[in-house]
Amino acid sequence: MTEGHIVFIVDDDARIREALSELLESHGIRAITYGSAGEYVRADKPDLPASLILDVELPDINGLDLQKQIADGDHPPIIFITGHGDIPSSVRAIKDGAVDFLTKPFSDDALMRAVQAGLARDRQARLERAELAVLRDRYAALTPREREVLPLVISGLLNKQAAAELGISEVMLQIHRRNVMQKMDAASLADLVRMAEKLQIPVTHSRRTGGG
Amino acid sequence: MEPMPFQQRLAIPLGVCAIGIAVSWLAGTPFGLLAPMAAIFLFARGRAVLPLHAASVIGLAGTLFVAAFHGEAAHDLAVTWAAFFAVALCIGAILTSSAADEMRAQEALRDRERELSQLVNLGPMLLWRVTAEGHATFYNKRLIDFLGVNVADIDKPGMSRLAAHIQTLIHPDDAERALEESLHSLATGENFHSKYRLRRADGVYRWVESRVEPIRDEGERIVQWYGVAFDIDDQMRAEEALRQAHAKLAQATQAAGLAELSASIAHEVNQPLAAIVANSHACHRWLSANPPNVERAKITAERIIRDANSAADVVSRIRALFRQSVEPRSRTPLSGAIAEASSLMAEEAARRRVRLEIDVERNLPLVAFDRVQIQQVLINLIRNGFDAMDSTPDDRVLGMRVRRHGHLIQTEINDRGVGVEFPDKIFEPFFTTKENGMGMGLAICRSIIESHGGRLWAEKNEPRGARFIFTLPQELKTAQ
Repeated sequence: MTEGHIVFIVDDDARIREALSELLESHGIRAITYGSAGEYVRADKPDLPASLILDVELPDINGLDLQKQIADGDHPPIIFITGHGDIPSSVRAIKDGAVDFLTKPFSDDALMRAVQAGLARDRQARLERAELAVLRDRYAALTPREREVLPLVISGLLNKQAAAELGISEVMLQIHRRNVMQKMDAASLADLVRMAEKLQIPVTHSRRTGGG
Repeated sequence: MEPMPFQQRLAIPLGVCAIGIAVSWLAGTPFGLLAPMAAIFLFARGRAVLPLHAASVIGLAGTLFVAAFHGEAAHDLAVTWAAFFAVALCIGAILTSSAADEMRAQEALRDRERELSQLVNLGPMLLWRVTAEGHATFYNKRLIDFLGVNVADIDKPGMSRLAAHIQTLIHPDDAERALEESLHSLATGENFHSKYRLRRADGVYRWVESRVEPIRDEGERIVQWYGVAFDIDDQMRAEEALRQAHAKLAQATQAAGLAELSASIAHEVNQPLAAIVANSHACHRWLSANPPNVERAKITAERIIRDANSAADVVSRIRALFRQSVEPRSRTPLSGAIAEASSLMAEEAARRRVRLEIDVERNLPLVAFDRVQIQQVLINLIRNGFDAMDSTPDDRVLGMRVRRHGHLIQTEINDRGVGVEFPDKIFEPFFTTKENGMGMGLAICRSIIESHGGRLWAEKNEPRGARFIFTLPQELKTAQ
């Protein structure tokens, strides 16, 4: 096994759970199985890059409905499996972000491709989530004044304009600006703009209007 | 008017003639010759009524004429003559009237005969007569016209007329049955009543309904059989069309049910198949690893065997549902099937400490059913009853009651077990309350009963347990 990752399997049929986890294990991937949607939702799950293999026909709630329910939170990419796949359900599932929609019985290749794609997607998502968390921490460390300066700087205002906007001297603005760059660990103005975008900080002034 | 019988034609004129000659001789006058002349005239015309009277009147008038013109001497003689002619007239009148009566009677008889013959030959039915041995001796005209042959035309050497007639005239599919039924009637004297296809002169077979009944003498011995048949071809065709429409409807209804069922079955078979495929891939990977992981491969191979067997099991259990019954449905008393099923289950009942109580109404009408399928239903329901009473400590009784309700024969199987929680859901495919049940038993039972035109449902039993009730429609057709 390379780095840690895991696959969750939710299916009401024990034979399927057993066979799929065996198959994943033969590919060197650890799997944890659950008999129902409720069991999966309630369970304590390891915090690792993961894929979720989800049966559409579940005893408690439909797999597609579970997908909707967990859509708001951070959940692993879903690979649906079903006994009788119909086109409308599969389209709906894929539109809602599922990795794949496999009809039982399915081949080793198809499942493994989907699982790997799911894991890769989750790894990427986790990376992005981690990066965002760091940025948030950095942003939280800014002083109120620095948080006022940041949107003006990324809007592309000249120092003079920004200073005028805040009613402070140009020298003071330059000091704040340097602190923002340092605290946010931005290599350049472009880098800072990208970070602000991720943090969803709105651009309040464009240079043209602000110049007036 | 019909000519008179010869003797009568001869007798009356001869009598008149003889009297006339005798009188002429006695009187010595030529007028007596009028009598033989009249006789010849009568004979020639062959008529006796008016001419005889005319001859006598002429003779009488002639005599009176002689008496009037030959004076006193001839008078006495003329009176004698007149008397003789008067007597002749009377005899003639008597003879004429009796002859006329006879003629009228004969004419009435002929009319009646004609009427009867018209009735027999032209009425809208096919009539025939058969000897006590089954030998046809008469066909009415309608029958001859219908068949294009008469009674004696169909005889074949080395074969009884009955067999020859049936073989020639009745549709090959019906001939054997008709012959059997005929021989049965001839042997027992029971009325014959049957429907079969009769070949018309143009070679077209038409359905007829035929009844033959015996005529007996005072000693109750059968003398003849009279048969009548009606052409019911149009009616039979209409019935057949209706029956086919019904069958199609039933099939369509069943197909709708089967569509739902087959989706469930596909799912049920797919699950083990999916597991088998995944296990096979895993097994392959364990064996392809370096070094091969034989232990894990063995485990997955065992699972493959287990799942494949479970798939095969599903298929074989479901097959019963789709199997078309090869046996035609036989019309037998339901009590026989109940007795068979309970004797099959008696040993199991004893082992599971269940007492069987069977209560079948006497003289139940026959119902047409597939014996094997109905037995499958009975055994399934009985075994369900046993299962339901597994946790009943004592008083384990399984009751079977068969009753007649109008046109339905109702069979009830009750237990004193835990009862039914979902009386509707239990008939759905793959719904089960049992640990190892597949949920097909009751679905199959219901499908069988519905294919027989009946219903199967569950009720609460008093004071406890469940009652499974199914109905079978009584055969409405009369026995043939």
